[in-house]
Amino acid sequence: MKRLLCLYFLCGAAIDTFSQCSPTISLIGSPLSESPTTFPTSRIGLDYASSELLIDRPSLITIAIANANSCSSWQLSVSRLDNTRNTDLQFWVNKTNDGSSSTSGASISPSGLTTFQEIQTYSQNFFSGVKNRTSIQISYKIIGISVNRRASTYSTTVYYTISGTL
Amino acid sequence: MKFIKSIVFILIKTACFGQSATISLTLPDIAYIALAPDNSAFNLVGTSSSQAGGSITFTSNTTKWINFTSAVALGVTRTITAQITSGSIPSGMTLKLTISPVSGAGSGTRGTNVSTINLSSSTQNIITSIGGGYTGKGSGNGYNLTYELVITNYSQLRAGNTSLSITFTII
Repeated sequence: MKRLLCLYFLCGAAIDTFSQCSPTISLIGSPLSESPTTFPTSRIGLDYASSELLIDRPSLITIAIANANSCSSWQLSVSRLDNTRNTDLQFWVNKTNDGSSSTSGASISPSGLTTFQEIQTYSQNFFSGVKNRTSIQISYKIIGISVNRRASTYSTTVYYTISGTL
Repeated sequence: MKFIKSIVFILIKTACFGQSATISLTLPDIAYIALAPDNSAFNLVGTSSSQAGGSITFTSNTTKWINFTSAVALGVTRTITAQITSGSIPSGMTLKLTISPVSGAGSGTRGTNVSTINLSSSTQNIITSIGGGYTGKGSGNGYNLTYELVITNYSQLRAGNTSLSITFTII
């Protein structure tokens, strides 16, 4: 009986801690509607000058944990779900800075500018960290732009999922 | 023991929260055409035979190339037409335009050419079924054009100079 009582309290404490380790993410800068710059007449007979389109309007991610000490760390994952048939179009994302944090002991990994990673249709790690962080800047690029591709609007939804570890 | 296992599971479980962003990319229709190396004028000059009773021959011109860039929506194809838009061909003559098959550094659906037409003031299709594609830029890329004057009726020939403008349109 004593043993069961002990487990009961242990479980209660764990659930209490778990409920506080609920990191949330907010994203500013969506939706993004992009188009290549007007095709220049100097390129008649040629394709677009680049198959890549860098989206130069950054989006900002803020990560908040109600009780910063309740989570040992958090991990941010990224994936995408296409809204149109985007065969051969690639969507890439990178972190261009670490944002800021006023919480003691906060960190982010990898730190600083990261290389672009392709956003897949399955979840992949993007970056991780410890404690709160504000205005992490991310940017996107799209690869596969060509006049050979059908003139149309292509769309994808990028999903960011944050998970906290107790 | 089973109870303990389930507690351990709760301890390492993580809490999740998500956000999403929509990214849209619009690729526009494109229909651009140019003549390479340029759209400057050229001369087709007739030379009479040095022998009495010989025929008159004209120089031909093969220096012009059609370059284009095209992007189309699903189910759309483009056509390039040719038409004399100023001046008229002298009586007794025909101006033939021969279009060679596409060549050069291009890519995509660059269409199908007709072989030869007699140019007139009416629009005539010279390349059809163009989809998304590009021909390459400059001479040696795209569709080579050959202009030839052909005498159809010697009795109507008159000495003189005639200027024509020929317009190519991608639609």
